[in-house]
Amino acid sequence: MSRTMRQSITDGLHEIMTAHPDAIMIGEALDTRGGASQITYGFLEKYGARRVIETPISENALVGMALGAAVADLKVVAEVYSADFLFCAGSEVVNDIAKWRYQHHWEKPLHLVLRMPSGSAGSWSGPEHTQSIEGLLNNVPGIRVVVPSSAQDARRALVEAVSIGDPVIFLEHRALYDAPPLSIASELVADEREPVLSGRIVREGKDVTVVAWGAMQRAAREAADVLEGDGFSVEIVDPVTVKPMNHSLIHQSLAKTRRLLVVDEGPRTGSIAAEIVVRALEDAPHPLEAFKRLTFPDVHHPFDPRLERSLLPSTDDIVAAVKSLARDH
Amino acid sequence: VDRDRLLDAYRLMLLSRAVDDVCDELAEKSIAVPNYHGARGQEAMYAGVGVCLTPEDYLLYNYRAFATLLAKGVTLDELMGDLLMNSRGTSLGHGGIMHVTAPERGIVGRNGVFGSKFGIALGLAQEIVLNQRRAAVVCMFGEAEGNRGGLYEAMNVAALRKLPVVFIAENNGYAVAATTDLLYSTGDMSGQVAGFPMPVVKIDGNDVEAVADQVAALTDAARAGNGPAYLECVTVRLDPHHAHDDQSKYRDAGILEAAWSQEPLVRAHDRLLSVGHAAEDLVHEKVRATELVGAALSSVIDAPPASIDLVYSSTYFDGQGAGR
Repeated sequence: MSRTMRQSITDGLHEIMTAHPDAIMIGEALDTRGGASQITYGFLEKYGARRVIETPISENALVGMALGAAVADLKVVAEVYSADFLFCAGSEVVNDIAKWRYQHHWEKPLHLVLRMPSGSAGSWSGPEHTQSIEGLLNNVPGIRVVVPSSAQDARRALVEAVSIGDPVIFLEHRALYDAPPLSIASELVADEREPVLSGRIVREGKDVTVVAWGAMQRAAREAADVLEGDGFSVEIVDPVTVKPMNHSLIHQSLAKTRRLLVVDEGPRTGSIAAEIVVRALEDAPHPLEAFKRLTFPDVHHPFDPRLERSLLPSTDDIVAAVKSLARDH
Repeated sequence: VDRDRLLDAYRLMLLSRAVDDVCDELAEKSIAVPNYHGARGQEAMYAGVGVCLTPEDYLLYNYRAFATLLAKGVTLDELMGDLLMNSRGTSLGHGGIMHVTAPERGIVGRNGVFGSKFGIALGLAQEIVLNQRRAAVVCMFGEAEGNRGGLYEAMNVAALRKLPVVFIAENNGYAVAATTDLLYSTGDMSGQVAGFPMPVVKIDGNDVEAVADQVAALTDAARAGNGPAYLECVTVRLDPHHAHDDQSKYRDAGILEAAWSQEPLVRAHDRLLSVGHAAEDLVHEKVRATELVGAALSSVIDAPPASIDLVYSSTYFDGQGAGR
């Protein structure tokens, strides 16, 4: 039976805690309510209070503790209750965690994952509990930002993230926690020998390259299936790691299609989508023939899900955008 | 504090003072000593802490704590390289005195923005707890940093989890130019944290024996699993905050003159005489400290500056990802 992303993250955490006796977990209410997302029930009992560390709602202490344990050579998976709250510890993330390697000439790996729910589930959560923060973090050298889009990728990405040697901000999309798996016949099967964090081409096509991650990746895959019925062949890239972005993977696809659509749930200005487009214009070996971004506008998420839905890029928006980008049929 | 340990502390104080003296000489020659903050007047505190630390302990230092860093095993060459911010420093010229790093000696680095060291202290302590080591985390900070909220979060968590952290508050009277009583509602640092369930102690931080006695007791208790403690050391900063600070704008010269007459090296010297050390031996110690620091300076002053290649290759662990 297939596992949901929520269950897969639990599986990944068990894998980490079992494989690495020097791995610890830090977070709020990890035991009493399974953490932010009911993912960590039972860990305290199984691994003990020396390894499963509950903190108060004190993000400076929590995120700072994660860094301290990582520089003490532990493998750390800390949970922040919501991506929006990461900024309570903004200095720890931007001034300490991101810069530690550089300004201390730190030669050892830093095994530090900050995992947190992120993105919109369209559930009356409003402007401070729905943000896609990857665009904000994109301007911070030294960190990695990972946004898995499927249950299987989430487990593997988490396990890889704790060993990659750099601090990782691991964004778990709220809308994907319990989403049923997509089964689309024409998709490529992931090669388990390749690191999931490097991203991959999920579906091969020749008309347009669509780059998307997190919940937008799921929308893109649904759109591609619809578009196939309409005679459009879409190639889909899931970067998984959105910072640093594997631009060469995208450019490899663009060599074939020369047409690019980026779907980004974050606000438009300074978005990851913007960077992907610019880098394709600057660096892709073949000139782009057409490109477009679908993003959230530069506004706040309304509480009312009916309003919010109207602002989020949708499957229909992707279908229309791909059709507008494709060569005449 | 026995005679030998007192002499060890005095040697550290002399080295710290000699470091200040060469930094002043460099400044007179217009040689940059980036981010140098003088330690004069605070040496008893730094040395008193230093002689209590074991190689197993972690130190989260403050940037004037030359004596503590030396006690923890940082070499004079490394210290001068970090003060000159060149390739002989512990971060090869990329972090300097604000980011002295010697992880194998328990110095994991230092936060450059005030406040995050308190959380970091918790994480270091969790490593000690996980590996069941007999060690403590000594976390040093001044009045400026002690007003960041992270301190109170960390003290709460340290108390909840009985973590082996000794918070050492360096009250030198000023956060840059603002007096402590302008910034702390209780007028001092320890009064504000008196409600935490841990020993909260306030001492004369210019009495090297008092500092060493208290730090020894509190770190021993932490190592033994008795949980955290908070020690306020009241001291006097004799130097300006840093080279570009004109302290005549906010400090009365008379106060400084009085402070110089009671400065910690004089007090430690008198104490050493009273416990039987010979005056000529102490003169010799001072000469020796000046020689050692001078030799360290000579050995590193012409070292190459930081390398641009490391700016790129030290962004990510694999040396990639930063792009050019």
